Amino acid sequence: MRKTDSKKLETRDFISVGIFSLIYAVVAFVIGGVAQMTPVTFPFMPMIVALFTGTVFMLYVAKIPKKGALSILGVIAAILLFVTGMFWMMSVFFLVFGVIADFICASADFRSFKKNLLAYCVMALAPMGAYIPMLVMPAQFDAFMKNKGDFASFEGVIHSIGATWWAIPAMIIGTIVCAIIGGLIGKKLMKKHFEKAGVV
Amino acid sequence: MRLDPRTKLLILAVTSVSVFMNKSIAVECVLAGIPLVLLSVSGNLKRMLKYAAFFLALLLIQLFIVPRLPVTFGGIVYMFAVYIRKLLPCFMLGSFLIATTSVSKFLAAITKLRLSKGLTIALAVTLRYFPTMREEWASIRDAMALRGISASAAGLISHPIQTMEHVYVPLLVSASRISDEITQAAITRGIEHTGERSCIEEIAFSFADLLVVIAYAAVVAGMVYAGMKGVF
Repeated sequence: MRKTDSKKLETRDFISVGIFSLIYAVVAFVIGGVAQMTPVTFPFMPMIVALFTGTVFMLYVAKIPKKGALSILGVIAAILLFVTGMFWMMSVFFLVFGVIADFICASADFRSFKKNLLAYCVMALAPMGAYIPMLVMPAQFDAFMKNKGDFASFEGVIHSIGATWWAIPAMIIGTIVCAIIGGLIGKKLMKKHFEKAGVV
Repeated sequence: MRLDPRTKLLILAVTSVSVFMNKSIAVECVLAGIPLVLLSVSGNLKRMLKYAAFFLALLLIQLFIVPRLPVTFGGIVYMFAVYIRKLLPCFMLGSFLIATTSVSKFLAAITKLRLSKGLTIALAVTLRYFPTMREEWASIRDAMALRGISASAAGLISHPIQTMEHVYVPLLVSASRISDEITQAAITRGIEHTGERSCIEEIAFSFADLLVVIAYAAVVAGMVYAGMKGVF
């Protein structure tokens, strides 16, 4: 195909967007699904996903360096998650973070690796939406126990260990660190293979 | 009974939002019950029985086992059982939607929602590319096996970066070649034409859609009522 310099998305870009969005979503889905299956790895899902989607993200940004492409990635991922019955906050997070990542990348015209990496860190936080119900669950558990006439307080237990206040920031930081590693792996693979093969 | 894909999307949206706002177990059973009926009417009896058994098991864990456990452990079990159970109605509706809607029907419905044309094209490609990606993945795995490299979870854990390289490089290179091919084919067939398009699939709301929408409106009303009165 002839390369065009237009800054707007054209038909060929939309088709690339469609294909690479699917790869991004499937990788996130498969890895995330495996990670969420056991209670031990359950809290680490966003971090594990962030390690693996970095390469796809970096190629995506290099292949379609136009404003709007990342927003559509967010929309498609959101639709796929929604249609398969995942928790809807995850879809909302993908929508919002996709648009934010789009703005970050576009501010440097998709050329700055640092900005792209920052955008990826934002995008990688999207699966965190799956944990929103966990914040309200302890209170519901207490209400349930009170209904039964038992005044044991799980929320109290959680507060006494001090588990709630650091869990979410720790997950966010962990995810960002993993996103940086994932992004760097992506950059390395891009240099080693895709640039040589003339894919980008 | 044939439902319009737009109705299926609507009830999925209603279910996924209300299931987490709802506090009453009776309403939750109805929210899980309607998808079960839909699944069995559409001929997915086996899947319906599996979901029903799973839902019941999780409900029984919450009602009878959790109160007998010590608080901390009971709380963790409760979180898991309830979280997964609340996701189940959405999973059921999702698998109902996927099992009973062909890709072209779904795309015809999406076109009728009048989203931007670019997004519709991208989404169409995403859904159409799915089987191709599966084929590509099978070939990559075969090629890796021929060279004595394992694509299994064990290989992934022992050499994560190497395995990623072996899978991603062929997958992404072939994806970008295929995307160029699809572009040429699509442009030849006039995808850039700007006028109104016709569609071979006919999409229209029917009496069944009306029934389902009324049923869900009733569930939402019931949920609000149960929330005010504190029904179990």
